[in-house]
Amino acid sequence: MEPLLQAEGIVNPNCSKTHIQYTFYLPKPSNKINIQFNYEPKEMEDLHAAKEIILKELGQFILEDEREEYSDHWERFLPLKNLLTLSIDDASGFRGCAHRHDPAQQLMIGECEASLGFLPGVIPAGLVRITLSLHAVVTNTCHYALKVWEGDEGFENMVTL
Amino acid sequence: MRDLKTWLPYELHTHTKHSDGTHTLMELAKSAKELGYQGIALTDHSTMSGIREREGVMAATHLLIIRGMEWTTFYGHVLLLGVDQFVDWRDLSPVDLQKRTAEIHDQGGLIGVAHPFRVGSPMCTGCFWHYQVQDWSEIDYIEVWSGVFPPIQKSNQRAFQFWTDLLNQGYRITAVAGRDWHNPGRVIEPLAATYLAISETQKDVEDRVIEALKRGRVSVSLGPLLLLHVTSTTQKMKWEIGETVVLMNREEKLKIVIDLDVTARANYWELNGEALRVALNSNLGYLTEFIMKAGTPKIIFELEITGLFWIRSELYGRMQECETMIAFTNPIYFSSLLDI
Repeated sequence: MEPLLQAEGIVNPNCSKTHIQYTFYLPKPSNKINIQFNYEPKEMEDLHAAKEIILKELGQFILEDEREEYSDHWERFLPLKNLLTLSIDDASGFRGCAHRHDPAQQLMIGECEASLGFLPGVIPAGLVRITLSLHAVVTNTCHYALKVWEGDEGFENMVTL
Repeated sequence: MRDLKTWLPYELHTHTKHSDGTHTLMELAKSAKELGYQGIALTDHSTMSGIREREGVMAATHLLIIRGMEWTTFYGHVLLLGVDQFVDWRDLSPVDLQKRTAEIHDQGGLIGVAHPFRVGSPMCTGCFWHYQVQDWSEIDYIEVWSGVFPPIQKSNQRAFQFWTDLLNQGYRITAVAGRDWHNPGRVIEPLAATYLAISETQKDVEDRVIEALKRGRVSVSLGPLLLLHVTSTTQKMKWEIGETVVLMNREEKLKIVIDLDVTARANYWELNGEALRVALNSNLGYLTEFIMKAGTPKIIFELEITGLFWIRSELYGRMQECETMIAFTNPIYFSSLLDI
C-alpha cells in the first residue's frame, strides 16, 4: 500500500526551537495509522564542541558568582543530545505526543488502542498534521525520516536512514 | 460556620511511560502511596493520554490522581493542573504566554511555572524559564522546590527568592514543591511533600485540591508539617495560611501562632538533632526567630503589624548532615479596611 506520507530531511543547530509540520489529506476515516520516525545522530560525540556549547550556554542560566563552580564540572551535562519529538493532530483535534528520547520510534493510533502518549479512536477523514518539534539540534547536521501509512502492515525494515 | 479543612500531603509533578517516565501510572501510584502521599498530579510532557487510566488506578490504589500536563515548550516548562481538555503550546512564543491563560482558567485549571531556574537548552531542553510574563497574577503557582532534597539546590534557592520578590511586589502567588518524578525505585535523598488544606465542604476531591492551590492554602516540607495562623482578640477572628487578615483599626493586636506537626509522614523523614529554628519572614524581612525543640511545637506571640503585607513561616534544621531549610508555609496576607 502507498504510504500516506513519506519524508526526510536534514536539520542543523539553527533549526533548534522550530517546528516542522507535514499536513496530508485523509480521504476516508481510518481505523489505524502507523508512524515510523527516526533521527540520527542522537548524541554529540565531539567532546571539544560539546564543552564549548555547555560553557557558552551556562552563562545565561547561572548567576555570575556561581558560574565557575558549574563550569568546572561541565562534564556533568554530557552527553549533549538532539531531541526531536512528534505530535499528531487530526480533524477531531490533538491526538497526542511522543515526548521521549528514543531516536527511532514506531507509533500507531488505532480504533481501540494507541501508542503511549496518544489517544485511540478512529482517525476521521480530513487533514492530518504531523508536527516535529525540534527541541534541540546540537550536531552539525541531524537527519530525520518519517513515514506514515494505514492498516496492519508492520514496522520491520520500513525506514532506514 | 467555619469551613473545616484537613492538611494532606501531595506530590504535584510526575511522569509516566506516556512521555519519558519509566514507570506506569499504576506503578507510580503504588510508589506514591507507599511514600505516604494522599495524591499525585499526573503531568506527563505535552500529553494527557495517561488520564484514560486514571479511574482504574484511583480505584485500585485509593490515591487521588489530579489531571494535568507539563507543557514542554522551547521557552519554559509550564504545569497545567485540573484540566481535561488539551490546550496547545506549539504556537507560543516567549512573549505571548498570556494568550492561553484564559483558556486554561476557563476550564477551571491552574497554570504553574515548573523549575524556573534549572539549567536550560540544550542541556535540559526548555527547562529554564524564558517567558516574559506581563501580569504574574495570571500565573497561579511556582514550583520553587524541584527534584529531590530541593532546598539545598541553588536553582531552587533562586526560585524561592524569585517567589519572595513577587510577593513583595504585591502578587499573591502560590509556591509548591514538585519532584519531577520520572523513575521507579528508592532514593536516599529527602523528599518534599506539598501539604494542602483540603476543604471538607466541596464534593469533588480534585476540585478541593485545585481550590487549595488557588487560594494558597499550602505548606511545603521535607519533614514535619509547618503551620501558621493569626488570631485577633478584638475581632474574635482566626486567619490561616492563604487567607487575608483584614484590620479594623491600626491599634489592633494580633497573635501569631506557629505550629509543628511532627507526626506528619513521620516514617518518611529523619532530622539530625532536635533543635529546629523557626523564622517568621515578611515583606519587611525577617521579623523574629525561635528555637523549637521536640515536644514544644507551638509558639504564640504578639506582633507589631504596621507595614505588613504578608508573613510566612520557615523552618530550618539539619538533614542528611546539611544545614537547610526544612519547610515553609505560604503567606498569610494583610489588608486594612482603613485603606479602602
